[in-house]
Amino acid sequence: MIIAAGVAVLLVVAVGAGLTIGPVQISLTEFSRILAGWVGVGAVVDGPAASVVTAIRLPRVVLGLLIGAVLGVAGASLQGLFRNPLADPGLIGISAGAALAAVAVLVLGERFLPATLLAHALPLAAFAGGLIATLLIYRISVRDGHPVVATMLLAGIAVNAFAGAATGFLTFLATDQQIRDLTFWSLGSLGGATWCKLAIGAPMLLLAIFVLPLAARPLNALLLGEAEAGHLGFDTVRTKFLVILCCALGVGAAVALAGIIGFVGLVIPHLVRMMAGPDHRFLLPVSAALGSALLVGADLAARCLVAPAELPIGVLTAAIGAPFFLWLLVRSRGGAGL
Amino acid sequence: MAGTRGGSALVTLHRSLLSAWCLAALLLGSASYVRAERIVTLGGAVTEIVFALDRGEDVVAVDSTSEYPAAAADLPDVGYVRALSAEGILALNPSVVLASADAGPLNVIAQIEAAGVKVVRLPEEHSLDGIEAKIRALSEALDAGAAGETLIARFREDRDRAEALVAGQAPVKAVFLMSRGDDTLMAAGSDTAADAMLRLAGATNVMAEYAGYKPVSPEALLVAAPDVIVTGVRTAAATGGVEGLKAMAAVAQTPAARSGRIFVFDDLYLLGFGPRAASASRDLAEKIHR
Repeated sequence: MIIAAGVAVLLVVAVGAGLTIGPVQISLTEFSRILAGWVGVGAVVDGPAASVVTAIRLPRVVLGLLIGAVLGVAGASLQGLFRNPLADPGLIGISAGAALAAVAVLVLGERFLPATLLAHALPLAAFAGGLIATLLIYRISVRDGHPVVATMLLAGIAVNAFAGAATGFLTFLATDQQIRDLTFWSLGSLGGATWCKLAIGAPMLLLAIFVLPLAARPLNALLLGEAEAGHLGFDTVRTKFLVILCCALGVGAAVALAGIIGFVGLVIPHLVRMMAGPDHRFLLPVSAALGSALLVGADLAARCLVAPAELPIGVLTAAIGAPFFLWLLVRSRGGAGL
Repeated sequence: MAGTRGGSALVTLHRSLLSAWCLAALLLGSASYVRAERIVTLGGAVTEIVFALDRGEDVVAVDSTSEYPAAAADLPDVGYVRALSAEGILALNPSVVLASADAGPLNVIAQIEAAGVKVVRLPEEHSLDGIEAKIRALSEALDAGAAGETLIARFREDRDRAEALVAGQAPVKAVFLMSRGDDTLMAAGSDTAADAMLRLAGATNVMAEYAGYKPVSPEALLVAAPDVIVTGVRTAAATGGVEGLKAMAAVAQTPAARSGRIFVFDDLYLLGFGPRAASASRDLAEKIHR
C-alpha cells in the first residue's frame, strides 16, 4: 500500500512539474489561469504562453503518461508470460519490425510514395511493421494450436536479427540526412506530440493499459508452469494471444508516435517486483504508473537540460533508470528475478 | 519624527540614484547596438547569409548545422535542424524565425507559428541560382537593402569568374574523398553537395554512378583513375595530412596522387552551399584548371 501511494505521489509530482516547468517561463498564477480557461472554468486565455501550455506541454505530458504506462505494463506482462527477466517489448519483434518499416519509409518513401502520403507514412508504417513482426513470431511459435513460449523467444531473436540486417542494408542506401533522421527517430522523442496524433493513437494505448491488467491472474498461474496453469482452469492459449496482441497494439502505437524508447519496459517491472513482489495483480498496474512517472519526468529533463535544443528521451530513460536499477541490484543482493 | 524624516530622505536619495542609473543605462544602451529583431536562424546556409547581410547582431540562436561564421557557432543552439523543439525556440522570444526548407518536424514549425511568431521558410535548391534566390528572399525578409545588393553583386562576380575559368576546358576526372582515419574511404556520389561543386568547377565526378556518400572499394577507385582528388580539412587531419592520404593504398596509385593533384578545402567553405559557394567554385576551378 505504501508503495502504491509512493508511486502515485511520484506520478502527481511528475505531471505537475511536466506541465509547469519548461524553457518558456510561465508563472504558477498564469499557468492556473490558462488551465482554468482551457478546461472551461473561467475566461479563455490567449497568447504565446497559453499556446505553450495547451498545444505543446499538455499533449506531451498526456503522451508521456500513456506511453510510459504502456511500456511498463507491457514489459511486466511479457516478463511474466515468458517467465524470463530479460523479456521486453523488443523481444517479440515490435521495435525491430517498426524500425525496419520506419527506415524503409525514410529511405525509399520519397521515391515510391506521393508527397501527400509521405508525411503520415512513417507512424503508420512503424505501427504496421511492429504488428506484422510480432504476429509472425507468434504464428511461428504455434504447434498444434498451442503457442510454445521457448520457440517464440528464439523466433523473436531470429526475426530481430533479420530485421536488423534489412535495416542495415537500407541504412547503406540512405543519404547522410536520412541516417541522421533515423538516429533521432530510434532514440525516441515526445516532442512531436499533438492532440491530433494523440486522438489517433490513444485508443490502442488505452486498450493495452486497461486490458493487460485483466490477465494478472492467469499470469500468476503461469509462473507455476504451463501445465499447472491449465490444471488451475486457465485458458493459457487465450492468455498468451491476448497478452501478445495487446502488447503489439499498444507498444506499436507508442513506437509510431514517439520512436523507440528503450529501457522502460525492461526495468520498470523489475523495480516494482523488487519492492513489492511478483503478484501480477499489483505488479501490472503499478508498473504502468511508475512507467508513466519515469517517462513524464524524463521528458521534462529532455526539454530542459540542453534548452533551447532537446535531448532524445531514450538517452534519458536509460541514463536516469540504469544507475538506480544497479543500486537496487547491489542493495538487494540477487533478489532480482521472477 | 527625526527617524521618519531621515527615512524619507533616504528614499528620495534612493529614487534619484535609481533614475540616474536608469538614465545612464539608457545612454549606454543607445551607444551600443539596439536589436531591430530577435532572429532565430535554422539551417547553415540561412545563418551564413544573415551574417553576410550584417544582421548577425540580431540573431539570438541558431541550429546545430550553423557552424559558420564563428560568431554564429557561439550562439545558443536549438538542436538539429530536422529535430527541433517548439518550446525551446519560443523560450528565446524570437520576433522572426528564418527557416531553411528542411527545418522541422513540420508540426513543430506549426506550433511556433501558432504561438504568434513569424516564420519565414526559404526556398531550397543546391545550385548557384538557388543560393541567389535565397539571398534575395532573406534580404527582403530582413529589409536589408544595399547590403543585399552588395552581397548579390559579389556573389555574381565570383560566379562569372568560375564560369570563365571552366568555359572551353575539357572536363577533368575528379573525386571527393572522406575518411575517418581508419584506412577506409568514403567517396561522394551523385546528389551530394560535393558532386555539385565538382561540376560547377568543371570536373566530372568519377563516382557519380551511386548516390550519396558511400564507402568506396579501393579497387574501384583505382579503376576510376581520377586525375584530381578533392578532400576536406577534417579528412586531411584524420589521415595525417595530404601525405597520409596519398600513402593509402587505394589512393597512392591514382593519377591524382602521382601528379600531386590532391586539394584540401575547408569542408564548410566548399560544401556549405551558402553565400560563399560561388567563391568556393571559383577557387576549386582555379586549382583544377591551373
